[in-house]
Amino acid sequence: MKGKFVTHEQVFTWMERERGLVVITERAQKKYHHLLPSHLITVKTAKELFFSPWEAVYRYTLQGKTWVIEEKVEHSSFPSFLVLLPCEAKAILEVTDVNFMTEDTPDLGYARRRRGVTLIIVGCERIEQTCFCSLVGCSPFWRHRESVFLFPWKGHFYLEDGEEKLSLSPFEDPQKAQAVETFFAETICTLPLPLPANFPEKLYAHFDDPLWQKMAWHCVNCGACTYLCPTCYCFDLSVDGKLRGLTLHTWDSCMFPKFTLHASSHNPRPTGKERVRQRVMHKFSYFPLRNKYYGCVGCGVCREICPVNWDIKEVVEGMVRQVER
Amino acid sequence: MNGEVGIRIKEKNIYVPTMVPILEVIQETRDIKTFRVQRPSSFFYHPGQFAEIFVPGKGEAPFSITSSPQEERFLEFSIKRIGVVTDALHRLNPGDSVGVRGPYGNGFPVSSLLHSSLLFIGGGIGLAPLRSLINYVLSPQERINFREIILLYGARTPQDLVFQWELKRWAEHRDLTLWVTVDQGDSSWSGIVGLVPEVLKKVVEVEPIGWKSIVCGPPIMIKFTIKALLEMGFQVKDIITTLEMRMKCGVGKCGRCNIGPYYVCKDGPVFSYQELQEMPEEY
Repeated sequence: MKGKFVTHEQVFTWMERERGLVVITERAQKKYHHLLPSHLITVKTAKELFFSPWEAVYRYTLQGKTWVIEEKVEHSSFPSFLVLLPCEAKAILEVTDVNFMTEDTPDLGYARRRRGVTLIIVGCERIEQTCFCSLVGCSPFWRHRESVFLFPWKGHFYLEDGEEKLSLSPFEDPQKAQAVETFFAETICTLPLPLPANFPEKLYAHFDDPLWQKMAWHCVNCGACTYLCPTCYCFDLSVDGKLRGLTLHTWDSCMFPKFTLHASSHNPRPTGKERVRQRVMHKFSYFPLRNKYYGCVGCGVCREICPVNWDIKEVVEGMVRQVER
Repeated sequence: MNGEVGIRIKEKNIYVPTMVPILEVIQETRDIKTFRVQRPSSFFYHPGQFAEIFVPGKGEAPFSITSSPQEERFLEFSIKRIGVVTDALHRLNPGDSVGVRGPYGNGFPVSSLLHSSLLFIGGGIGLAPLRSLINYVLSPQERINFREIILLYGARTPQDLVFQWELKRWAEHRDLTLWVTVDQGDSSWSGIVGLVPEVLKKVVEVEPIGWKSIVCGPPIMIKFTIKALLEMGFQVKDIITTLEMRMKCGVGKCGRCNIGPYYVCKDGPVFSYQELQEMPEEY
């Protein structure tokens, strides 16, 4: 049995003490404001801590007749712990890390910030109406060997911290830990079943399905979902300044027409249909075909914030019916 | 605190270009110029790969490298004036500098072309990526590894033919058969007139066994040329082409140049027609 227990006070006091080093996501804060310190620094999405919405990569300056390039290196202090929900952690560990931390060509800005940060995953006691994590291989109790896991259990926190990254001196209670494990296993059995086996391959075969037109028609391509999505990692490199300026690494969105527009004015994804199909296919087919995990963690944030109630879960379930037909 | 990590770990930032001087600018056509720039040290590439060129204050864009990798001192890029970055590039002169980062992409599958006869088919500026491989296979060290070499090149009008100086050299080269055609001739033109796919069927007489064809040009030309090659009996795996896409990072991270699960910047830009057939038609 690897799990131990700590009191609410122990966790609360530890976070109070390490305050400047602990950052919490807004969603985790909202869920556990009664158990955790209320004045921790918050981030809207976990990804933005490492994958900055706006970051200067280098500065260029015209000095006399020559251009001088200076790489921008961050020297500011950076947090060491990020408190987040299981789906948000899965998005970091199995999607954005996979994209940015490749061995041959790591994205240095991301890698520098990400390396020193330990993820503290707080399991979900309650499942929101918009959640659908069990469909895509996540769960309210999703854990990862490199991260710390906490779960509120009868006045205590159940804690998994094999490498003792949090100096909390937990106590053991094998019987209670067994009860927690049983609760996890039993709850997972009651959740909706995962997407069918080989769904990425099957969906890929339906690239030309006329259903995409129907699925896409009411999406307004505003891109709000991609900005708040914990896994969306598309970015742009652009310049700001003429004789001296910065090359910027900024968030971008596959929902925007200019995202794929060629200089020749040809656009391989000219309408909303192609762009919506790209968004769904990338998460549910292309990304898993390349990297084995889904590019969606089922957090339901996009369903919550969409101004026109475009619903990715309904679309995916519609495609499941279509491919299984 | 890990703020000092950035100082301790001295790693290469993949998005930072190397500034190099422009050595020479050649006006190819009304709107195409070839830029010869100094080759950065430790810039090793294969024919068919591309690089990102940075114009300070304007931005960055990907261009295929048109010089052969055997040229040790310089890199060449042939660039059509079409957008913000290319417009700025066209205003530059020898002595000005540009940023280069790369090389990126897979390049032509040179090892699978060994001991084959090669049929190059180019249209317009599409000759630029082919030129790197043509000069590579024509080099004295490499020529022995390839059999017959044919180049069929076409442009809209005689004024739109790029690399006219190179075409003259190739025409005199005894190891290469050159056919040049234009869609529309004029009084100065005494050569072939006709669209590339039609000319291909008329003048190029090859038994496709042992041949590989490398095609690059505007999408419509590629489409009809491939059709003609298939009619001539070429196998889908023996037809190779190179694609264009809007790109930013060049390393498969920024997420815009994919066709299905393949990134054109990383898995491409060179694909066989067989591979293209298995991909969704979104390019």
